[in-house]
Amino acid sequence: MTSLLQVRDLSIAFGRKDPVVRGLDLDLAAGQRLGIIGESGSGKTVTALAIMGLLPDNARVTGSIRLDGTELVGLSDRALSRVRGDRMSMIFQEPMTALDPTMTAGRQVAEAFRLHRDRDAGRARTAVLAMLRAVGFDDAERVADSYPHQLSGGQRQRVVTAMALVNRPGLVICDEPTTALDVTVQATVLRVLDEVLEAVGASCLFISHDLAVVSQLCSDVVVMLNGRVVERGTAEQVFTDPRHPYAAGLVATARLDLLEPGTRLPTVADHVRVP
Amino acid sequence: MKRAELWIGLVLVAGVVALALLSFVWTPFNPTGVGSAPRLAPPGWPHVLGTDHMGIDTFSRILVGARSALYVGIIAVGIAALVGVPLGILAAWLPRWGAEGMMRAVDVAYAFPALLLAILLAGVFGASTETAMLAIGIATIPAFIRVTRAGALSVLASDYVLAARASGTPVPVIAVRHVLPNIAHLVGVQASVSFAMAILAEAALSYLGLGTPPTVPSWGRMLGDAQTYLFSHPGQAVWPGLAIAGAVLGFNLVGDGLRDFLDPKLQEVS
Amino acid sequence: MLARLGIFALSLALASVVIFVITQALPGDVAAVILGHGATAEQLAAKRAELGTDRPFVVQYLDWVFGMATGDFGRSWFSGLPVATLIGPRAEVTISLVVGGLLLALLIALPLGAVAALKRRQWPGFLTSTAAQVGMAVPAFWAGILLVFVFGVTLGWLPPNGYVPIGRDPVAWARHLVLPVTALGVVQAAVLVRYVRSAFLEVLGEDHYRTARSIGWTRWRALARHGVRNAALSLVTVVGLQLAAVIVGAIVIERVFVLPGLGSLLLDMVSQHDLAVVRGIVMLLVLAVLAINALVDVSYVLIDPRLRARESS
Repeated sequence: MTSLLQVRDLSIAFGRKDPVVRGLDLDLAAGQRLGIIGESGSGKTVTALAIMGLLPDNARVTGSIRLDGTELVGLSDRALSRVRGDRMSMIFQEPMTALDPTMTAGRQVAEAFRLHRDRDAGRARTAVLAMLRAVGFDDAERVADSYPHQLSGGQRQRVVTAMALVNRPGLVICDEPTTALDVTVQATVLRVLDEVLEAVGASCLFISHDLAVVSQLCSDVVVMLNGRVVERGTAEQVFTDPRHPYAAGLVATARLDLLEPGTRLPTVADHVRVP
Repeated sequence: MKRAELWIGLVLVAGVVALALLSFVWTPFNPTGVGSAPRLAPPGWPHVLGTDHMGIDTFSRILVGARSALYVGIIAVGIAALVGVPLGILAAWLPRWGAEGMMRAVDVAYAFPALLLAILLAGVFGASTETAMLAIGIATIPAFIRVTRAGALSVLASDYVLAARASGTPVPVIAVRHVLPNIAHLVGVQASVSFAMAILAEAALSYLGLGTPPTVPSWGRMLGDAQTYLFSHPGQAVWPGLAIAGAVLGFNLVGDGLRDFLDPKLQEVS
Repeated sequence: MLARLGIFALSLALASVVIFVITQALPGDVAAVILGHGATAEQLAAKRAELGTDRPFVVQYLDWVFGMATGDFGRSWFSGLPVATLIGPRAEVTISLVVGGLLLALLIALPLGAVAALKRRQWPGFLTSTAAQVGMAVPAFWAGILLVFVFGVTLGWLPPNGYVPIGRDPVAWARHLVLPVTALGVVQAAVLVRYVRSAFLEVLGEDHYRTARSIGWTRWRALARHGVRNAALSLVTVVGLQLAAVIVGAIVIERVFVLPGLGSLLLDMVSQHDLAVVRGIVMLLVLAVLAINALVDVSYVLIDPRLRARESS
């Protein structure tokens, strides 16, 4: 199996503080979808930002991140910017603030396209409208000419999805893309995401604290705790037979359908001492 | 880093104060009278910074100039604080429409910078140190009103002030006992920054001949005199400028440093 | 929009009352000021009637205000010339200086502010912030004097003083303005850098800045493309507030470079105690400041589409 993304011994620290991610290894094959599960502070978002090269400049990153054989650690901002948005892209957690409030949605999607594909405004517009339709907008023209404040949270997240996928990147990193949304909207956004990832044939690194969401989208799962991977396997394996006590705790809290009526709700602390 | 800023500022301010105090007891030469010294002498000995077009020792004039700068700064900032702080507390106390009207007036006042007001007043009353101080002081009042009001609003909303009001403590007592101590640091920062601006304004006014009278040495006027001889003796234009810049930098740094030192919340996230 | 216009009108009225009270009511009997000590009672009465100062203050004030509204700024007390005639040819100098100084300040402050914000943890950012702090402490007129010495006197590259109208010789006009505009602009830039820096720092923390980088903009280009647009709101406010400072700076700079602008006229008239002219110039300058700030208020709506929506609904 050839890896699209290969992360080896990745450690990340800020300033002079202790590392928040230590000795992390990840492998992602082309077309594969890997879920990263962990609570806030476990280092999953920092890992995603490190892969994208979007960490603040006081971050110290060591180890290796290879995308399609290209080493990303140590690349300049300029060199990384040629990869970002083209071969890999990212969907963020907060759709309400992820878009520039002073630009129309269409122009922001078009920017991504024109940066890497074709500077021609007309062809960019065509590509943008096609992409907006692909993420489920029937009225793509209207959405393209709307400012972010004129769109709902779910609509904005689909615009961000369109920005991330308009160049058909090999890797899409999703950082809790539905956490900030209503449950009903979540389902739509996840379905759209599933469809466009499939259509583009992109691999996906899907970050979430929510096992149920991950299991819908991902074939494989890693569980992170305090900057380390504590469990890895197929989604089915991790859900049915978690080996690390922390993973077992997460599964127990997620599978409330298995609960005997009348018993106390389980917590992660029942399974492992969370520092 | 921020600590260093504060220290450099304090050293500069202390330096200016020391120069001013020293000038009361000692200057190397008579800073005002025409001496027997050569005119426009270059720096050397015994005139370390040279002499001006009247043959007066430049270093002596710089020393006394520090006095003029601080004098104008103290009075102007004093006027601004004495008027601005009570008005600011009042603005925080007033009902919405009253405060709104007052802050609008403050906005208009921002269209009258110190220098413009000073020029206007000089036209009416004639140029003098007093006119300059008064104008700079009045023009600085709005800054104090703004800062005080912002600080007082948050103090007035606090639980202990509500408790004091509920128990019937009179308004002026609350203002003095609760509000003033809690906004003192904000006023202090503003005073330091305003002091720097007052020194700049005084220098400009003296340069224009609208501030300190010719008989009293002041840095701004020294620059004005030096410009006349710029072609032949440019050196004289250096020292007063350095003195002004040093003093202004000092007060600005103290203001900035104090702000960060006293209120860690305002420090930017690293 | 109407409310903003109302505030502007009210501010203008307030400012005009203040200026009028200071220049007309405070000095006492203007006729006595003009004629001096030797004047007889009849001469004084005649002069008062000529100036209109024998009328109640309210009437005088309204007369002045409505006169200005029709372009009549009154007449000089001493020369008798219309104030508008005195001001007219000099406005070009001051406008050139103020606009040039402000543009130069922005031209310097925007990139330097970006450096100060983006490189704040490295030496370029530290250096920029330090330079701005020092620059703020330099009086513009000292900077002007030093520039005159270096480029006007020693090197002889540029004229050390004087002015040529743009209509007569644009090249000479520009050459004469280089040094004064530089003195005014560089010092003002130092003040602006701090504001630009903090406005940009705010943008750097925004989610949409990260999104812009995620689609392939470098730090710098993301800031240029999305940062400036989003910082514009606070920057326009700052420029509006700084305008008064720039105008005042221009008055002093005109003196340094012997430029025949409004500032020089104002200072001449102050030393002659010709308050009719002083009043007219000060009113004009205050009007400019208030008008620009009203325009700044309006420009918010153009910059921020969210406000635009609120305005039209």
